Amino acid sequence: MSARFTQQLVGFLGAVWSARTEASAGLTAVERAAETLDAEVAAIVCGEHVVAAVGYPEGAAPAGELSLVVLDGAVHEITIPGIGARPAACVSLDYPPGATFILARSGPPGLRADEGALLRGMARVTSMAMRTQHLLDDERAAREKSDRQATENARLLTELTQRQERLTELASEQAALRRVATLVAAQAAADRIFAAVAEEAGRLLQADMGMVVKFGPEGCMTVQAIQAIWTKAEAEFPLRVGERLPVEEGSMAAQVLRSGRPSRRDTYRGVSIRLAKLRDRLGLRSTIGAPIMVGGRIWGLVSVSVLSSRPEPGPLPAGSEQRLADFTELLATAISNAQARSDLARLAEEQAALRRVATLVATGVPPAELFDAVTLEMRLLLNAGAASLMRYEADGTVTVLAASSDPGIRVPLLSHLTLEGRSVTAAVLSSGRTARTDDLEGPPGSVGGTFRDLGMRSAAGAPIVVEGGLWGVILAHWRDAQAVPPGTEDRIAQFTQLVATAISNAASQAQLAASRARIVATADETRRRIERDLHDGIQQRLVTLALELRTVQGAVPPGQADLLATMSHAGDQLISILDELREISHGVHPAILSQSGLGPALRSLARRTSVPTVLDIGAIGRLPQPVEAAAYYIVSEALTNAAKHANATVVHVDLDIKDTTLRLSINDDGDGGADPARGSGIIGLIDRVDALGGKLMLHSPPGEGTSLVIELPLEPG
Amino acid sequence: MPPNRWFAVGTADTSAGDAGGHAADAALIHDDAKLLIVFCSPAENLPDLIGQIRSRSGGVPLIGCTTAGEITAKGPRDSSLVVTALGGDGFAIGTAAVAGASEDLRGAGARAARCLPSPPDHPHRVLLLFTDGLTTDQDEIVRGAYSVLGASVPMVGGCAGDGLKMTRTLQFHGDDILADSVVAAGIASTGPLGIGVRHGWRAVGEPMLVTGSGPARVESLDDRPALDVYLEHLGVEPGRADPDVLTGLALTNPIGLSRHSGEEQVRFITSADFERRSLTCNAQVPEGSLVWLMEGDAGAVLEATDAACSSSLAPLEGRPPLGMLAFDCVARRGVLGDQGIVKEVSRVTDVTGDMPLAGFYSYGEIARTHGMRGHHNYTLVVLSVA
Repeated sequence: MSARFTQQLVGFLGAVWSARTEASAGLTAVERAAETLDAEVAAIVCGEHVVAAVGYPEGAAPAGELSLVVLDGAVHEITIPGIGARPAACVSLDYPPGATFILARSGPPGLRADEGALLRGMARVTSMAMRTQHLLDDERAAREKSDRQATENARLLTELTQRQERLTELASEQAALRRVATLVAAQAAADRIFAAVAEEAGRLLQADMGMVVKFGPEGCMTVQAIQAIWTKAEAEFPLRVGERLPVEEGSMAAQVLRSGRPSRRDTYRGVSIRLAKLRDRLGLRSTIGAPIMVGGRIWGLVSVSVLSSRPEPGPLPAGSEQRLADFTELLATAISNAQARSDLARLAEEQAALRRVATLVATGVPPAELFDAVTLEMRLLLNAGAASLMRYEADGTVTVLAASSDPGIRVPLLSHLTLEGRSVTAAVLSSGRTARTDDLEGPPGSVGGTFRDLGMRSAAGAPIVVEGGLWGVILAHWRDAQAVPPGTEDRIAQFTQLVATAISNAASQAQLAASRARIVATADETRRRIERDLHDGIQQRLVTLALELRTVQGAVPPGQADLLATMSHAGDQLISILDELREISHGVHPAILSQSGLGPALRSLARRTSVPTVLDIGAIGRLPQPVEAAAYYIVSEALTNAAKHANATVVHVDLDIKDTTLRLSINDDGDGGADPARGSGIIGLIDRVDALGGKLMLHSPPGEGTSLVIELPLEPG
Repeated sequence: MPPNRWFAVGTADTSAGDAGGHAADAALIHDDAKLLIVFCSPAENLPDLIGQIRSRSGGVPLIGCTTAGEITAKGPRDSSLVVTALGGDGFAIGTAAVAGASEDLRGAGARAARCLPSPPDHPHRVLLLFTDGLTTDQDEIVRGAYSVLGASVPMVGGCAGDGLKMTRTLQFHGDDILADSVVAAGIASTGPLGIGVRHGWRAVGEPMLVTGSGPARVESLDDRPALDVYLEHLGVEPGRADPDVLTGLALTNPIGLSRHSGEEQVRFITSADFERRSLTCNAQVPEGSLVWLMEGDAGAVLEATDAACSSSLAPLEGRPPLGMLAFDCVARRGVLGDQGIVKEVSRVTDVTGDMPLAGFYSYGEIARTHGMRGHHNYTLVVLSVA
């Protein structure tokens, strides 16, 4: 039956060799041996280690019992589960070393000779198969290890390459940062720093264009810098630094502003018409933007773009957002410093300008002078083409009271400008609030038209509100459209408040002067009435009485010498009273002043004063009554002071008229040291001068005489 | 008080209203059922039938399969539903279902076998298996189960049928109706269990050596094309045979593998590859095996029935069985004819008296009592439960 034996062995070999591992070869061997020889139990045992076993419940092969089966020629029995002890057939295996193939079955005991031979053959096959599988397992393990190593090497290589790339990236980032930081450290102007940031960001991400924009109020952003990277095409960009753009809904900028995170736009298909216009304008293909956070708020953004003009333009590579964000974050401090410095400088300039204007307001300069100063300061501060101050008139027109402009143009100080067309002046009037426009227009003779003709396109302004009422407007104009920087209106408004205060002060002063003038005039009028009453009443009656006394005296019989002497004395007394009364009346208001004017009145006064007085009076003619009265009383008071207090020996009085001003100069050689605070005389003089809007200058150093110079306007101011 | 162990069978025509309910009601004679075993002809309303049974039995574990005919004490039937109930505290049951079994038949057998409970006071155990009868390598399922159970636990069961349509068989587990699966019930009992395995076929003529074989295929016998050798042994000129002729011959002329002890293991030839001149079997025929042409007649087959029944009763040590499960090869039905199978079942009931009987005609039988092999053809397998 050798053919059968061979076939069974071939079948066994086929099954065992088809096993994939040493362990499964062992298991297949015991199973197929058990099946072939109709056995319940088969096992390969190596010492106390059961290599493979079948016929026992899962995981319960009795290693102890099986290990006792030794190849000493004795018949061993092992227990077949559920059946009992049966003789075990045992064959030693070449492999695993020291292993034994054990087999036991129920039914007739023992193996036939051919079955024994088959079992030995199977044991040989099993050894070979397991040894081969062992080698294959080792080989497989080695190959797997080698594969793992190769995979690991490839991974390491990739990682290394990536790290090198990242290092290169970092190095370029560092270099870029250093260049920007150098600018920051050198306190370069903000616009230079922004330009550097835009360029470095674009260069870093190998984009075609870099841009820095600042978010402003009212959904706008302002271009701070725009840089072409690989070409010198900045000039070709139809977008300029300082230009304001709307933050379009759905745009990359809107996304950055809303999320505070980097964002990208790789396709511009299906975007809004306005966004598509911007795309066409700049030739955008792919754009990435990252927020610039300053002081915890989104200050603006840095964006880099691939332009469609590039050969084969594609989107910026994945991960660019984070690189840009990292770069921007590192730059935020620099930007923030630069911005802070720029803000600080601007603030300082603004404060200085405000202080200068405030000083002018405090010293009470005439409004016209103040207005000139304000418009000049504002034009310089806002870097505007022109700044002007206008007053709203009752007839619905405006008057340009002051203006300052670039050397190239001159804003005429016009009145009756209309508010037709589009202008900030009209907008402020209708709203009572600050306003701006980017597109001035209007017919000739209108504010809009006038400034448009001067080459201005955009403007901003703030109302001047004086004591609750809209008085006027302060405006700044620029030549370019959309050139009004954000926050301009508020900056203008700071000046309008000062101007309003000044206007309010000036009005109050005018009212005060008028009030004083009215008081002085009333006093003078009273004096004149008293003088007239004295002259026409008491004086006339005393004269009549004196004449009657002369008549009575003439009628006294001779021999009445005593009576005559008494009457003569009474007559003298009467004349004396008359003189005294005339003198008093003159003091109250010299009639000669009313009748003959200032020159004769002063000459009369000089004659009557106790201090020698030298008069030098030009051809002055008759002057307004308040001016004559003021000049007269000023000289009178000065002469009295010189005589009574200064111990002067001579007084020089010079009087002249220049243009519309009366100039009066009084100098004595007395003790000096006159102080307005110490006597009411000089205060009275100051009041009179102030009431007429004149000026009084007192120079009275002790021991050097007193010099008094007065200027009185001949026309009401 | 219900008995410690009980066994009952209910049956109904699958087309009858609430067939599942009626069959279950008949089987559930006490309210402590532990396992329901369901055999059913392939029917359109299978889900309804299972649902009806489950509506009566609740969560009692259930396994079963479709058949090529059902067996009860009343005789063989088609288009019927047979429900067997095992109940009482004398039984401890575990069940399992492994779907997608064909991907790993050995693993499926192993996983199914792990359901067997092992309470110490229930010493008698058996693994009841139902597999997809159209699966080619049933031996792998048995190997997997054996690797878990070892030699001490026998296996018994059948391969599901589909009324000879040979397209799709189904297995039942709980509420699930599965295909390509292995379902199992591990039965542990306080009472003994007996298994009888007989086919009654005889080896005739000279043995043939399997010199070339593959999975479910015999390439050569005695180094010649297997189909030609097979036909020559039957006295048929190879050139005259066609597939139809072969099918007719094969049904009554299986081949048998010699075994160390007991009957030859019979292998059913399902078809032949006339190009390659090879035979197709429904199970493995290992290279190096000696095979014989088998022949049988109604008398021998019926004698085998008697022998299977009586050998299943032997381990019961004289105790009367509570009931019997029978897994009868559908090919035996072909040999016996419709009258023959009626006679066969009456021969069984002659042995068992009026005890309950349930079984089905299968596409292969499972019975492992000794050795490792457990898959059979042309065989009657009987499980007697005491």
